Amino acid sequence: MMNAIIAVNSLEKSFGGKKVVKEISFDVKPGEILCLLGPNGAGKSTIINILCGILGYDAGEMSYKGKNINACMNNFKKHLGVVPQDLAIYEELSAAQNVSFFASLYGLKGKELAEKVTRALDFVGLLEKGKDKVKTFSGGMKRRLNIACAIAHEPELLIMDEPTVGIDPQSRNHILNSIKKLSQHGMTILYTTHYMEEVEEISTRILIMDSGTVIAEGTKESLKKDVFDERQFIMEIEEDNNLNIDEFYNIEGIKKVEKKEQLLTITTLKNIENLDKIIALVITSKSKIINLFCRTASLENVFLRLTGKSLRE
Amino acid sequence: MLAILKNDWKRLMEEKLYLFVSIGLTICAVILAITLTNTIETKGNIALVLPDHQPMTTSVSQFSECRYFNISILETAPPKSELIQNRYDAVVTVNEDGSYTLETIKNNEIKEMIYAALENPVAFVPDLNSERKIGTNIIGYMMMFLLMQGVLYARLFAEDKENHMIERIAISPISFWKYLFGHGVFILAIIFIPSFCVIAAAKAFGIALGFSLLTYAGLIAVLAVLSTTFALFLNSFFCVADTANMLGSSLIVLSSILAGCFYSFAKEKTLFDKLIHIFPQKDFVNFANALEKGSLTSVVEWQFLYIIGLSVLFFTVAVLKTRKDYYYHK
Repeated sequence: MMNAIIAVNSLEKSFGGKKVVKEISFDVKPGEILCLLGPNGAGKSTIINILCGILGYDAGEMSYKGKNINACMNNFKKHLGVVPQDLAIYEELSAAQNVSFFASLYGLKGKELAEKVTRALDFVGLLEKGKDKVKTFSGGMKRRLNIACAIAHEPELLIMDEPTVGIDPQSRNHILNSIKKLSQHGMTILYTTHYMEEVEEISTRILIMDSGTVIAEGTKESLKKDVFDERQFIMEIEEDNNLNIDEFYNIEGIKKVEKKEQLLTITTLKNIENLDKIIALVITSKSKIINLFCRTASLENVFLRLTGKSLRE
Repeated sequence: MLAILKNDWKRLMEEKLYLFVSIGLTICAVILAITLTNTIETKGNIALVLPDHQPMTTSVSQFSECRYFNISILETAPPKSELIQNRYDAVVTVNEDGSYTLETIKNNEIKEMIYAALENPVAFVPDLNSERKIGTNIIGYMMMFLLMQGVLYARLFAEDKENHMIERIAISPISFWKYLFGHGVFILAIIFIPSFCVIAAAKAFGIALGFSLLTYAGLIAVLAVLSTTFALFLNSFFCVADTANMLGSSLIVLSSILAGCFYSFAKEKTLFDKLIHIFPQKDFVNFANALEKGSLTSVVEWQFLYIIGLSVLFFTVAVLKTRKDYYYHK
């Protein structure tokens, strides 16, 4: 906890008597990309707003580098960059004017300001569009500019609240690559999303949230390992008249066998090697294997297992 | 703060129409004030009661033709309610013995003026010292437009709220005092500079404007401060720019008309006359009027301080309200 940039302890927040953040504790370590993953209404944005100082809280403690965050809020703000969920950019101004304005709020001016504006625009791939008015930009370009406005002053900690909502895959990939690059440059990133694939791609650590609580925490590998001890083999077969499903249960580690038309789904314990026996059984029944693949645990499965519901429900 | 100023300027330059419209309105206000000051004469309405078969004496006949009053000759006295409703300023009844009875609810100055006209209707000239002079008229005409410009330019603050920019600003190290002060200085400057330039241009053309340029600078600056702080105050309570704009404009038009920016309805005796002093426009016109006539009294000076105090209050409330809405500090 001592070397954490941010430490949150037993944070609570209610709206109209309804608790939306329930005794949440976590920390953000230097250089990591910590993803807050959860469905809409899980409390992610509320936590972000509390951390940024624009929303109050009912109970708990937050510290920045070991100091109470309220006691050093001004210092904290100087080292903080925030990419808000809603686009917060001036449509009538140019991209460079937008970045320049938000960077100047952090005391940057003159040559240093101009350099950092150029660097930020270059980083998000908008340098050539720097003089263009934002109102002429596509949704994805606006999202990238939204990020440039938050990173121009080169903050120590970057908080990104669902920065890829409603954009095309190309822009999303650009943004995710940019985030990885920022992390490589040493920036610490707190990232909220409800997109599993983004978390899979960029996170170094994950906090899975649901209904205002943290239900799991760890790296994506450890979460999958801890929560998911099974794997599935899916076979597409033909000429399966002689195939007897019950015979599969004689193989060690088999937990469940399902057959739906030509698809045979076999769920087995992850730590038991039994694929050769499964294939042998199918072949001896004179069935023909057309295709075979193995479904490993995903974060989607992890969330489903932990909450009993899909992330996008 | 400089960052806010620069940003406001860049944003305004993208919407130059606002600037041109407000400069146009200021020019119109000055032209109207100069033109109308020379053509409008304020006349009192008098009911002259001549009972049945009462012969009209020469002096009564001359009085009835006095060009400084609108005189209605009646056979019976109108009900008192018509005095209260301001239909008449006074009722003059000619008695059988040729003497007059004067009835009015207005102040003694009006009474004395009517008596003077009755005594010597041919040579009567009203004391024009009670009339507004050109400087006060120009400031009065400009006032509503200057106040409305504040609401117009405070869109820059309102749009920050409407488009969530203010949340990003709240997260930055800049304080709300500095942020709103930055907006305030910009709005004040953009109201003051073009308006003062219009006045200076009129002066350069040799038009008599009443006040000196320095006095105009001071008066316009005070109006610009009031306009700016009121607009920021109003916008701090609304998250949609158009709502604040429409409400603000309506309030300014109504209060400016009632406060007598264009023409004074004040008779100084009724409860309404006293109530309209709540509007700072009324106090400002009184101050400008007294300043122009060189008759500043402590009452008028307090009225001026009321405007300054109100401006400080508006700005403080605007900052505290915005801070309450967008910044949490435990």
